[in-house]
Amino acid sequence: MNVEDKKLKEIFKRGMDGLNEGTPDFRSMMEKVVEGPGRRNWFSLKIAASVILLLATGVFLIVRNKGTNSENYSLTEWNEPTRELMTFSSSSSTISTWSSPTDFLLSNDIQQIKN
Amino acid sequence: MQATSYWKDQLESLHHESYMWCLSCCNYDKDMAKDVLQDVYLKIYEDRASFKEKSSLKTWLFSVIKYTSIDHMRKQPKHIEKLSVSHSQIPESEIEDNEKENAFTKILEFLSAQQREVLTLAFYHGLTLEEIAPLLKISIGSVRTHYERGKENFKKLLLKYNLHTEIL
Repeated sequence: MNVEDKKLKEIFKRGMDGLNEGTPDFRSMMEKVVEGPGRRNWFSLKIAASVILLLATGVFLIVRNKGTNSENYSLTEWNEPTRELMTFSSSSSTISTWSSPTDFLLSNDIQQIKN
Repeated sequence: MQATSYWKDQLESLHHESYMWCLSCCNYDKDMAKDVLQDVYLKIYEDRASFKEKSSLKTWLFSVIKYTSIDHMRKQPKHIEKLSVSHSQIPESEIEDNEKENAFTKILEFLSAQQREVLTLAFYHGLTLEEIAPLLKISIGSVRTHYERGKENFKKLLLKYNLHTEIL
């Protein structure tokens, strides 16, 4: 380091020392660090709140799914939803031979049962 | 690293220098520097920052301070804006108004952030350029460039604003 650099270093050091209006006390800072359970309690509280929220969401989903179970019907008992719109007459043969438009999708055995 | 009495003694012996480096990293905001240093000690106490003895304790501690202060600055963008102002952007009249108030701080603000950091570490904290490079995570060549340019700019600013007489 040449003379000019040493001079600059000296100016710099004095300038920096002039900025220091008082270094905070080390011991009081460390006391705050050691006494910091409040910070950790807050962290634990956030974790606990997250777990509770997850559990509540899980319980809600389970309960909701149980309530919306659809009823199952045997195929032989099945009727077209529009059947009640038809007027049935015991003398009429047309109704007894009527088939739904989707009957062709069923196998012959099932069609016989249905009829 | 738990804050055993040994580490407490080590940290205490470096406390003043740590605070001054912290002040520099926080753009001379005293309140923020205190918060950052507190946070650094908490990280060490809780073992979130542990010393691996790959460098000196001082270099490691300074590195933790540097990156903790960056995290704090991200949360408060006004500090980043302040740091990014270059001397060419600031009118001379503003310098004259405030020079008596805090001449040295003004000079430092006109240097680029890296020039200011390298000069602070080399001139005030007595670190070698080889120690500064890993601390700032830049190459030794870059450190040398910032050091040389920083010195030149520092000298020019002292003369330009005639502040060297006030500081000395």
